[in-house]
Amino acid sequence: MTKHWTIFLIILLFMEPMADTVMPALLPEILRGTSLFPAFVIIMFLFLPQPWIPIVIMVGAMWRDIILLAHLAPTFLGAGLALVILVLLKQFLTNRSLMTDGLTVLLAYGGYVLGEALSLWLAKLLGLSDEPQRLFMVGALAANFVFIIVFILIWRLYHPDEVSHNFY
Amino acid sequence: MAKTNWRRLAVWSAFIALLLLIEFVPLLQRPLAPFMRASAYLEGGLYRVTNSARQRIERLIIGHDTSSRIVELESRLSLLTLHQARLVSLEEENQNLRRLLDFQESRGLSTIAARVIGKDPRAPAELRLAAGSRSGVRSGAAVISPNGALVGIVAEVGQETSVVRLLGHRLTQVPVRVLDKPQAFGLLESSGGLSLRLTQIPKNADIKPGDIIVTGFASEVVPANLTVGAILSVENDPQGLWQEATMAPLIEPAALDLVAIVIAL
Repeated sequence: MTKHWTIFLIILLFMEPMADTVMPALLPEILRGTSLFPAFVIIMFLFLPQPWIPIVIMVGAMWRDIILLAHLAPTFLGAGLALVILVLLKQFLTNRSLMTDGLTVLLAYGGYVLGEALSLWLAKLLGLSDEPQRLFMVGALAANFVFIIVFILIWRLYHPDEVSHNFY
Repeated sequence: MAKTNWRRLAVWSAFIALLLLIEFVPLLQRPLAPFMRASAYLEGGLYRVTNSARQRIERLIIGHDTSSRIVELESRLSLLTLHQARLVSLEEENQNLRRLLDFQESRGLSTIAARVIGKDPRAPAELRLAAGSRSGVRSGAAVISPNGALVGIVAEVGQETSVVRLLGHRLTQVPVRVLDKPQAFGLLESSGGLSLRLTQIPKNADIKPGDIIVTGFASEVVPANLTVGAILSVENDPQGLWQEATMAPLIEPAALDLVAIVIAL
């Protein structure tokens, strides 16, 4: 990875929560709640060298929770769960077809949403916040997923060598 | 191999614990403060830029600024909601004034309408009214609700305001009688400010729960036959000189906004 890429990824890590707060001003009502963080996780997975992936993702999740003043670390929990699912699936599924990639991302995204929902639900249960309704806006969930799938498709287009054979 | 895995697991656990500590302990976030401040500035700037960009795009696509239109309509909606609330309140006030006027005409009383301007939680048995001696209010005058029930007696009179002691005030005493029972009369007073009691009722008076209580002898500014309440229970002690009864008032003073003060009979 080049020096420029590293700088770009650090800026991305720093800017991600800001981009999330800007989303409501940019998107129509039905897509409010769309987050760039799942895409951020995928970007890190695609571009960073393996040992750095979990470190950067978890630091990014912590930074996002702090900046967005989240209770009970929803991003941290969601990202942790997504990361575990991604690592496990990457170990078992050596085939890199589009279907496998899509399924892996879907499951990891499911883990992320589940972790975040669990944390928000706990926060509501403890009377800390009242946010879970916002999490289950179907439009935002679908938009998030489509966003990361499109990102993976573009990446596959530019890295055909990495998807044409089993590399584990 | 197993040792390496355990070591890796331990390092990872320590790393996750450190991140969670930073996230949950504000003191540990201090080194991040400059970044957080920079982030807040950037966030505000980005929000403004994207918002204005969105408005420009909407203007370009739809032909007019929908966001501005929505903001304008929302502000008009708030204004209309305020007007509607005011209209409802005026309508209620109008109905109360009509009822007071009808009552005044039917009873041939000389009264003035007064707005309730003060309900002090520290003195729950008193109300301040927006009418005083300049309007002809006198101490001891009866204060009547829009439906014609006795609310209380004026205790203090200023030039522009007056204070009314409600029936539940510990110093309020009103001579009353039971409607349609000439033998049943007594004195209405508040038992320690907690409940309304009828005392000094003759032993031979035939009274029972549900009987309607009205004001007794007319004085200069308290008319007779004003509804006061209904008997809840009767206590007739064989050893006592008098009967006693507990009374439920007919009005809830806290809900009153407008009352009539009797200035002459």
